[in-house]
Amino acid sequence: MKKAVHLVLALLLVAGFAFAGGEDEADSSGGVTVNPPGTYPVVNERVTVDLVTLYNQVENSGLLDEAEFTAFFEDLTNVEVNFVEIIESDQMDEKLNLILASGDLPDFFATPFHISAQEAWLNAQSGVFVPLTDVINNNMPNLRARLDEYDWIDDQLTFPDGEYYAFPRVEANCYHCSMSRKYWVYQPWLDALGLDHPETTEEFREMLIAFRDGDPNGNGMQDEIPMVGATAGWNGDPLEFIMNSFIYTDKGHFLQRIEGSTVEFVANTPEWREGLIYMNGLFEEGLLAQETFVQNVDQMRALVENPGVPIVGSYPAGWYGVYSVNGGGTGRYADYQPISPLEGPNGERQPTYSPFSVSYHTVITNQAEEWKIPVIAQMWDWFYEGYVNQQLSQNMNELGVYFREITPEERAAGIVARDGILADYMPLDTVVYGSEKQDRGWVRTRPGWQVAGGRGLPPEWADDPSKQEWRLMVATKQIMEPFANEKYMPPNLIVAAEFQDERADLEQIIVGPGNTAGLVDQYTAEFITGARDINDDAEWDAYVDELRRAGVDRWVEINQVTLTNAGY
Amino acid sequence: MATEMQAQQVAQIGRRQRIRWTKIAVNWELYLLALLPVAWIIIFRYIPMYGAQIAFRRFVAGAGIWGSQWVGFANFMRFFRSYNFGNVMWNTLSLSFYQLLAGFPIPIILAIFIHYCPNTAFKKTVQMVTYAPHFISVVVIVGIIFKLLATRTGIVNIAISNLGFEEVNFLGSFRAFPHVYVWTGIWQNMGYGTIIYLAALSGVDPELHDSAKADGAHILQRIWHIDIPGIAPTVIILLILRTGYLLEIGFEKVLLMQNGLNIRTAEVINTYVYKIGLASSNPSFSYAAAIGLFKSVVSFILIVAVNRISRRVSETSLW
Repeated sequence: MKKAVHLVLALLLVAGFAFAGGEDEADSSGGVTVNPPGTYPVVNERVTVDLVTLYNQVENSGLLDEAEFTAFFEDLTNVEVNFVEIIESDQMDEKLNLILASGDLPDFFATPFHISAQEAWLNAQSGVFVPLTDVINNNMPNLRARLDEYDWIDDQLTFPDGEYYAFPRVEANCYHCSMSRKYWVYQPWLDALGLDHPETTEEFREMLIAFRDGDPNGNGMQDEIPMVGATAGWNGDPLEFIMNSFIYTDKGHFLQRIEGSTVEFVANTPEWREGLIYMNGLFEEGLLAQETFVQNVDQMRALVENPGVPIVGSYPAGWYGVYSVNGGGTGRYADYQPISPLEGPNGERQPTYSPFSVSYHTVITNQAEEWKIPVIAQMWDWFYEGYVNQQLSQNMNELGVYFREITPEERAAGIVARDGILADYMPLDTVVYGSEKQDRGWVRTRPGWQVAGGRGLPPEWADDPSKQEWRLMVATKQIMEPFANEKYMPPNLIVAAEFQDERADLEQIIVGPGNTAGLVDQYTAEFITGARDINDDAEWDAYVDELRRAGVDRWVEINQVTLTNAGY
Repeated sequence: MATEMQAQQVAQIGRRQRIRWTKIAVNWELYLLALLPVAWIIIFRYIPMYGAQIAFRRFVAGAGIWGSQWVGFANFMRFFRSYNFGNVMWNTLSLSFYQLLAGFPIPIILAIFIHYCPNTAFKKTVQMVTYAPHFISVVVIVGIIFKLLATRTGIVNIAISNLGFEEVNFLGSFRAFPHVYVWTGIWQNMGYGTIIYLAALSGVDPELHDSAKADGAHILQRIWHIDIPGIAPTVIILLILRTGYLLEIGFEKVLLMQNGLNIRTAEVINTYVYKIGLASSNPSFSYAAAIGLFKSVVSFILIVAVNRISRRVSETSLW
C-alpha cells in the first residue's frame, strides 16, 4: 500500500515537472516576422489565431467557417482564424463569464455589446485583457486616425489608467436604437373607428376603449386585445413607454439625472404611483391584457399573427418586426404604425434615451503569445479603412454589386442614411432583415466604424413597408426626438472597486438586471394587475418601505458617486 | 531471535497480501466493473472539490484559484446578510417540503394500484402512459405547461371560462406558482417513481398473502398489514435520500417559469446562484460557490439527522 502511495506521488511530481517544463517552452516572438502596418498579407508564413465570437440567429446561421469572407480574409492576411467557439448571442454573457473564469482562453474575443466598460476594466485589472495602446498607436494607422478625428469616441475607449483595452465597434448611426421604446398601433383599426394617433394618456385610453368596444376587426365578436406586451423580445414591456408620461423611466436602473449631475430614484415617487394608478386602470378595464406579464416572444407572435382577423390593437416593441413578421406572415407588419410618447396629466412627455456607447468589441487575452498581438491588430485595422471593407466583411457585399458610391446628384438631393444624416453610399441589393440570412460574412464578428451616415435610404423605400430602417428613422426623427431630454444616465460608467459587490447585490435585488425581475418589477406588476391595491396608502407605504429596507438609498448613493467620479 | 520473528512476520504479511491479491484476481471482472464508476466519482466528484475553496477566496480569473485572495467567511456573511436571504431560503424550503409531502406518497399509492390490477393489458398501458412524461425535457414540459395554462388560448382556461367562471392566471400569480410547480412535477414523475416500489412489492413473500387470505383478510387489510410493512424499508431509504435533495429544487424548471408576477415565491437558492454567479454583468463566482457550499452543508446535516432519527425509530438506515 505504501509503495503504491509513493508511486502515485512520484508520478504526480514527474507530471508536475513536465507541465512546468511545457510552460517555459513558449517562445515570445514565435519566430514570426510581421510585415509593416498597412500592408497585406500581414505575415508571409501562414499562422493561426484562436477566436471566440458570436452570431445572432436572426441574422446569420453561425457557420463562420464556411462563410466566403473567412476564406477571402485568410487569403488577404495569410492568417488563419480558428473559430474555437461561435456562440448564439442570447447565451453570450453567460458563456463569456464561464470562459473567463475557466482560464482556458482563446487569443481573442470579438463580440459587440457583451463586454461592458465595467467587465473590460475588471478583466484589465486582473491582467486577463492585455493593454492595446501600443499596437493601436503603432500597428493600426486606420484606427489611430479615426480615434484622432473623434475625441468623444477616443474618450469612451480610454480606461481610467489611460490605456486602451479593446478595439471598438462604433455604430453611432444606429439612431433609432437611441430611442427604442417605441409603440405600435394597428392603423386600419384607427381608420375604421375614425381616430387620430393619440397624443395624451387620456386620448390613448379612449383609443383603447374604442378598440375594445367598437369591433374594429368587424367579425361581430369582442375578441379584440387593445394592448398587449411580452416579457421577452426587444422592448416588449409597455412599462417604460407609459411611465414616461409620468416620470422619466429606464428599467436598467430606475434612475433619472436632474440638471445633469444629480441622481434620483424614480420608482418610489408620487409620480410613479400616479403612473401605476393609470396602468392599473387600463388593466382593470380590460384594455391591457394580462398575458403581458407572463408570455414569451412566440406566444406574443401567435397573437399578433393570429390567423384570420387581426386581434391585437397595439403593442410596444423596439421595432414592429419583433412580434410581426417583417415582409411576410399575415402582412400586418405594414399596418402597425408608431405613435409618439404620450403627454401625461402633468405635462411629462419623453422617450427613454440611450445615448451612443462604444462597444468594446475585440479584446486580446493574456493567453495570446506576444507575436500574435500585432498580427491581430494589423488584421483588424483592415476593417477600419472604410465602409467598402465593412460591407465586404458584413456579407461579402461587393462594391458595384450590392452597393455603389453615391452620385453627386443624390448628394445634392439630400439622400440620408438611417440616422437621417447624409449618406455615403447606396444599396443595390439588400436582404430583408429578419427573413433572409447573411451567411456569407462576419455580421457581428467584424469590428466597424460608422459614426454617421453610411448606407443611404433610397427614396422609393418610403413606399416599401418592409424597409424597417426607413420607417424607424422617420419615426425616431419626427415623433420621438422632439421630446427627448437629458435625464438619461451616461453610458459606460465604471464603478469603483470597493462598491462592485455591493452594487451587484443592490442591482439584483432592486432592479433585476436583464430579464430577471427585481423588487420594482415585482411590485409594479402586482400593482398594475391589482394583486396589490395601488390606491391603498398602506400597500404603497409598504412598497416604499420595502425598497428602503432593501437599500434604495445606497443604490442612489453608489450611482451618484460613480457619476460624479466620471466628471458629471 | 528477533530477526527470526521479524522474518516470520514479514512472511505472514506477505501471505496475507498474496491471499488478498488472489481474491482480487479471482473476481477481477467485478473489480473491472467497479473501476469505471469509482473513477467517475473520483474525477467528477472528488477532484473538483479542491475548487470549492474559491468560496473562501475572492476569485479573480486572472490570478487563478491559488492566486486569489483568501477572505475567509466573507462570502458566506454576504449571503446571510443579503436582503434576499430570508425570502430565498423560505421559498426553497417551502417549495421542497410541499413537493416532498405531496409528491412522495403518490408513486407508492400508484404502485399498489398497478400491482393489484388484474387486467395485464390495462396495467401495461397505465404504466406506459404514466412513465412517458418523465422522458420529456424540462424545456418542452414548461412549454406544454404554458400552452395548457395560458389565459385566453390555453385549454384549461377555455374550459374554465366556458363553464362560466372567471379565467385564472395560473402562470402570473405568486400564490399559484408553488401549486403549478409541484403538481406538474408530480404528473411528470409519478409513473417513473413507481418502478422501484413495484420491484419491492413483488419481493413481498406470497405465502404471507396466502395465509392472510386463508384467515379471511380482505384486500385492504392485506395491503395495510402485509404490503406496506413489506416495502417500508425501501420507502424509508428513499425518503432519507430525498431529504438530501431538499435544497436542490429543480433549477431549470423554476427558472423557466419565473416572471415578474410570481418571482416573490419563485426565487430559490439555485436560481439566485445562477443569476449572481453566471448571468450577472459583474459575475461573482466566489459568492455563488459560497452559497452552493452552504447548501451542501445544510443538505449533509439534514441527511445525517434524518438517518439518525430513522435508525432510532424504525431500525432502517442508510449506514
